Amino acid sequence: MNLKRKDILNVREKILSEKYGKFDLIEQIFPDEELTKGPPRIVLQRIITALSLDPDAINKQTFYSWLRRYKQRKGATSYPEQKPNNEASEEWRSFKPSNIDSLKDQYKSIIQVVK
Amino acid sequence: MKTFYFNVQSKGGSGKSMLTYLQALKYEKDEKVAFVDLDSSTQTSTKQLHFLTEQEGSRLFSVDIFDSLKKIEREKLFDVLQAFNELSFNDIYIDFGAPESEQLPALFSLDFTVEEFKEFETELKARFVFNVVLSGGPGYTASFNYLKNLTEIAKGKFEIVIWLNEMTFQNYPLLIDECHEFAKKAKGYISKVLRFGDIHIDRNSGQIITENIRKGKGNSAYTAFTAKTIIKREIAKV
Repeated sequence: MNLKRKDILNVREKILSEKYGKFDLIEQIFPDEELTKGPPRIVLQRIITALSLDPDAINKQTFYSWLRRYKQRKGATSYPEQKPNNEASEEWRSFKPSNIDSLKDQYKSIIQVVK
Repeated sequence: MKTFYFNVQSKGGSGKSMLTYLQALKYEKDEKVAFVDLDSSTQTSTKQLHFLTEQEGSRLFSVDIFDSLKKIEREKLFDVLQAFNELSFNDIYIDFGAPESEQLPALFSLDFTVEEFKEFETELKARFVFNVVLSGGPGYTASFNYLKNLTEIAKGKFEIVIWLNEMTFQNYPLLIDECHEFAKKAKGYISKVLRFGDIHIDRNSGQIITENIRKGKGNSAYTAFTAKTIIKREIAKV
C-alpha cells in the first residue's frame, strides 16, 4: 500500500486527537475491502502498524463500534446513508423535544367545531 | 450468544410493562426465553406475566436491587446479569421499574464507565440491547430526555431501540415524526424506531385487552375476534 506521508500524518493526528469522529479519515487511506473483511482485531492491527501507533493509543471497543457502524453503512441500513459530517453527526446532541403545550395550541387551530 | 433486553424508561406509566407483556405473549411457548421483573415498587410484570407461571419450569423471575436500607444498589445489577447468564435461557427480557431505570445512567457514568460495562458484556459473551420506551402526551418531554441522556452516556456502544407507545401518541402524530427525526440524526447511536400498543381503551377490544393484561392472562384468553386480531398484530411488532 503506497500511502502519502501527509495522509498518514493527518489520519494519525485525528485518531490521537480523542475528538468525536476520530476514525472518520481511516477510509481515506484504507480501501473498503480491507476494512470490511477480516476479524476486527486484524483490521485494528493493520491500522496500528500502518500508522505506527502505540497499540494502547486506540480504545478497542470504541474502534470496534466504529467499525461495526462503518460496515453497516456499506451494507443495507434502516435509514438513508448520510455523508460523514461532524456538524451533522453532533446535531442530535442539541435536539430538544417539542413542548407538548405548544403542540396543543397547534392542534386547536386545526380542529373546527361542527355545528 | 445470549441477549439481554433491558426495557427501560424513568418516566412512570410510559408502557414498559405493556411492552414486556407483549414480548411475553410472543414467546409464551418458548422455554428458552425468560422474563425478569426488576420493578420493586409496582411489580407490574410479576402480575401481568402470571400466565408464564402456569407452565412447567420457571421462566418468570422477580428481582430487587435494593440494599438493606431500601436504597437501590446499582452494582447489584451486575450480579443479577451474571446469575441469569448462568441459566440456560437464550434471551432474557428485563422490565426495569421507573426508579431502577432512573439509576441506570448513573451506573454508567458514576460507578463505572460505559466501556467497562461493554467489557462486562464481552466477558459474559452476551449482547445487551436497550429498549427505551417513549410515551406521547404529557409524559413525552420527560421520556424523551431520558432517552437522550441514555444515548449520550451509551456512546453508541450498545444497541438502543426506541419503542413508541402508540396508545399515548394517538393525539400527537407530529411527535412520532420528531422521534424518527431524532433517530435519523443520532444514527449510529440509535439502532431503530419501532412501535407497539396501538390499542384503543375506549373500544370493546381495548377493554378486553386491558382486562386480560391486568389479570395476567396469556394468548388463550383472547377469544373475541377483534381483541385476538389486535393482539396478533401487536405480537408481530415485537
